[in-house]
Amino acid sequence: MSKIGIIDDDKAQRETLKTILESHLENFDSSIEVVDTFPFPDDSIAQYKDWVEQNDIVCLIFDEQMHNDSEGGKGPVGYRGNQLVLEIRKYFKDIPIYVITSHKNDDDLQEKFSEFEDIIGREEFINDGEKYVKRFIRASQSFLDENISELSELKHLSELVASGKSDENDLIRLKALQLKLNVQIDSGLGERKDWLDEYEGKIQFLEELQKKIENKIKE
Amino acid sequence: MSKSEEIQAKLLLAIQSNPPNLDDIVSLSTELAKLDPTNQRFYIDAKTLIHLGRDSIKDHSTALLELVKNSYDADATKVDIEIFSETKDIIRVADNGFGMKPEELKNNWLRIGYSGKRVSTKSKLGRRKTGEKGIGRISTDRLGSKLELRTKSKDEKLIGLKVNWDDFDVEGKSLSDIRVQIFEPKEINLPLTNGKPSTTGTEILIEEQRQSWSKINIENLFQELSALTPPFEGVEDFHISLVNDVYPLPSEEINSNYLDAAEIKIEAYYPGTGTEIIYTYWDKYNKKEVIEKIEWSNLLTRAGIDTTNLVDNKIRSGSATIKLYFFLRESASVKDLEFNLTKLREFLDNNAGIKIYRDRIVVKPYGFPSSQFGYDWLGLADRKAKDPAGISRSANYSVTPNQLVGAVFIARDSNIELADSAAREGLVESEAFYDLKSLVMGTINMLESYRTKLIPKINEAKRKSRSKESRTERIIKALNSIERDLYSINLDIQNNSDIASHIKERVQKNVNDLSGTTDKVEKTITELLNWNRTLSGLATIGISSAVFGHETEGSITQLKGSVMAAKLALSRKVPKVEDAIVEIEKAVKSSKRVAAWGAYALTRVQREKRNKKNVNIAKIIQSVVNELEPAYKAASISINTELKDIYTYTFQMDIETVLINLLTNAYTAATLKSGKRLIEVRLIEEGLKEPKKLIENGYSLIVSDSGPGISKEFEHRLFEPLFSTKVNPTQSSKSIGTGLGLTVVNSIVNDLNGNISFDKDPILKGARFKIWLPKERKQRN
Repeated sequence: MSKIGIIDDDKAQRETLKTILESHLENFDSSIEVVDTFPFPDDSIAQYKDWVEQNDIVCLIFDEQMHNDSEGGKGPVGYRGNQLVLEIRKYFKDIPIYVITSHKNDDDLQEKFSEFEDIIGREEFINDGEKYVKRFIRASQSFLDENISELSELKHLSELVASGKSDENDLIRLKALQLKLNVQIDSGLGERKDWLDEYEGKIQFLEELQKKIENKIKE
Repeated sequence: MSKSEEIQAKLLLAIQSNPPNLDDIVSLSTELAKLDPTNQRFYIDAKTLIHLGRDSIKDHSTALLELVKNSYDADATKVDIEIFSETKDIIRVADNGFGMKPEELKNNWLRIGYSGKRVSTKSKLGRRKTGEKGIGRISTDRLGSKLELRTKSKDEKLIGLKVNWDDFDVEGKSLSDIRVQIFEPKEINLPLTNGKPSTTGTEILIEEQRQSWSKINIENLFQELSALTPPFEGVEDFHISLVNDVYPLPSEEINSNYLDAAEIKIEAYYPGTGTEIIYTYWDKYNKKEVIEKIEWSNLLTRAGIDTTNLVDNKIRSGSATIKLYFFLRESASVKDLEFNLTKLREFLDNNAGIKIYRDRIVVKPYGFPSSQFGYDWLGLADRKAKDPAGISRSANYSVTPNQLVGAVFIARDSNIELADSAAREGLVESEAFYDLKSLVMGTINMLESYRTKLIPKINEAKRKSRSKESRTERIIKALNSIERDLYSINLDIQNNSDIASHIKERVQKNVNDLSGTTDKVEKTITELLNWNRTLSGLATIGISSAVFGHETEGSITQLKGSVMAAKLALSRKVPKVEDAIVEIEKAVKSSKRVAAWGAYALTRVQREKRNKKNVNIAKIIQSVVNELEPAYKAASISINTELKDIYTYTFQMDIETVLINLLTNAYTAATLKSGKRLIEVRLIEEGLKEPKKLIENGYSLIVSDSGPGISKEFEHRLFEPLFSTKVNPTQSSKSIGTGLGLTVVNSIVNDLNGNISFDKDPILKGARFKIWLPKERKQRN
């Protein structure tokens, strides 16, 4: 099930946001669920990738000031929302990311404007949450749709290459998709053919060698 | 006719003439007596009088002093002295003593060597009479050649005589050949007694002065007259007034208020019998007197005086009382007194030295600053030169003559061995005198030892006076002192006849305008400081709000969010009651946080915090930390406190303001780093140790943080107003610093006479600020 993911160091704030979102989502008869987390430690930013993938997250909502609180013996972390967005974008180029903050006009945040879908003031969200949630739903949906088609294409092309039935265009397209979806590029795929060729070559060599030995013995 | 017969015949003629030719009778009788074959007589050359009078007196002020002493012996209560040598030529000394009867004038005054004082030693008023050798009257010759004396005794008529001393300055004449005119004056000019003209007294007029008077002469005379009677116990019934046309005098007399500036007073009393001397000590720092007895030989040994000539351990000088006042010539000496250091120094310059008073009349030249020989008759200066160590450097500490005002009191009756030297000044330097000198030296030595023992107390007092006096008090003191000096200078200007009156008026006007300025300034400064205190408190709210403000903002936002969430949860198809309750609880919590912040801001400038009170510093710190803790927790900062109970008398607001500013800075610093964020607040008892001074009681407040520390390049600018490293909001620190926090702290610490320092905390690795403040006690008035 697709989910919206909330990342915030303030537990109370996070959960309140979750409650509000869930209420609005229900009002729109959306099936999207909400999941939230305390920011991951500085040295394990990669955890976000897993978290997004494992939870089928199609939309992210950050707090900007996420570097203050601690939770469960962890934290506080050393980065803010406007820094996290860059990291996330490395893995997910297109995923909708919103930031809900009390400091809308913060310079650093505004600098990263293009990385976000939108920068939303917390007060406005509390007062007019409905409007924003509608947008969240739409964004999530289009991300999902695009993602589904691309994912199936990826699946299809991979099968083709694996079975040796791909042509050059397919390979290019596959690589492009891998890049876009940030799928780990299997380094052996392109070279597998070469290896097979080499393997076949070696087998041929051995077969010829075998023939030569047999002939020698026969003499 | 024989020679003898010739003379007899002339003599007879002289006797029989009408009126008798007295001159001839006297000279012829003498001539006749010289013809006596069996007995001769001594004759006195007229010039002898000159030798006895003019030539044996060193200076004219000594001569004048003799006249004043005579007035004293005549039980006068007032002596008027007039010296005119510029505008006219006359010296006048008039007293309201008992005067002389005509018989007394003829039989006593004109009899050289006669002293009524040898016959009766006490005056009617009980004064021990001063001169003895009976040649004081001839000393007027030193002043001028013409002497006119008028005198009035009770129930007798006015009588006078005129002497021309130059008449005696001739060769070959006998004393009895010179005439002295007697006359009946029509009037006599005597000082007033109780506002009315006196009925008895003597007026002496001297003309054709032999030596003019200079400014210095007048000053010295004034000094000597002032010191004629002891400053300690003035002879209250003897008042001297001095008028002259040479140099205007300050109107002040010596007053015993100056003795209040003494650091130590020591009194030695030797009763005249036995071998013990009783010492009484009093000093500025102790309230009680200290009394001790000491053996004569012991005293001498301690003072390093040779005891080999000691006979039976006897003190040969007779009974004596010695009083010594020791002064430091520094501003601490005049603290809380009416006069300033300049005046004290003037008094000491004029009166320092140890004088000898016999029957309460001074014996020149001992202790007189103007006398080369007499001033340091004890040799203190040489003694000091051999060992100049200041008091705390070694056991030996010698006083200098200009630090002592002292007197040795002796009496003719009880100190018979201490005789006048014939030169009219000083005492015969006999064994008795030597013992007296040793007694004085011993006393000085005792004073020095006593002072050495006082060192700890002196240092403590200096410390106390430094810390109790705030900046304001020092400023006011300085202003008061300036004001007094200006008044004094104005007085000199007004009395100076050389200055034009329009200038005098201008100066007077300025001085009048100045009057009361010091009070106004003091009032203004106090008000400003109170204002300053309140504003610092208010500023601190602002400063801390800039940092913690978003905490409150966050709470309000949370409150709104929770209320909205609860509302939405309850409006769902299936109301989510549990969720709603959770959100409402959160709302309540947030509202409490908002209220707490409001309360915190309001209590910063509460009135009772602006008054000085007895407080426990630890309590104050703990309560502030408790108030701010939620804000710190929200930023994952732990505050640890380690506080000792410290009780002192101070302004609660000052302590809170300092602490909040330091904590605010610590908060900002701690949030700059991730990882464990810690702030430590410690309160310890600590004395301030400065080199060569005693430890001062106090306490230290230490605030450390786990932030990045203070950059070396900014260290020297830390307390500059409006200097802040938080100028541009960076990724790491969004808050913009006001640059006022540490300035406020510094200003308060200075006002409280404390110290502030900073370094790197060895454990937390961030900045560590230490404020040391002195402990204060409420003064009981």
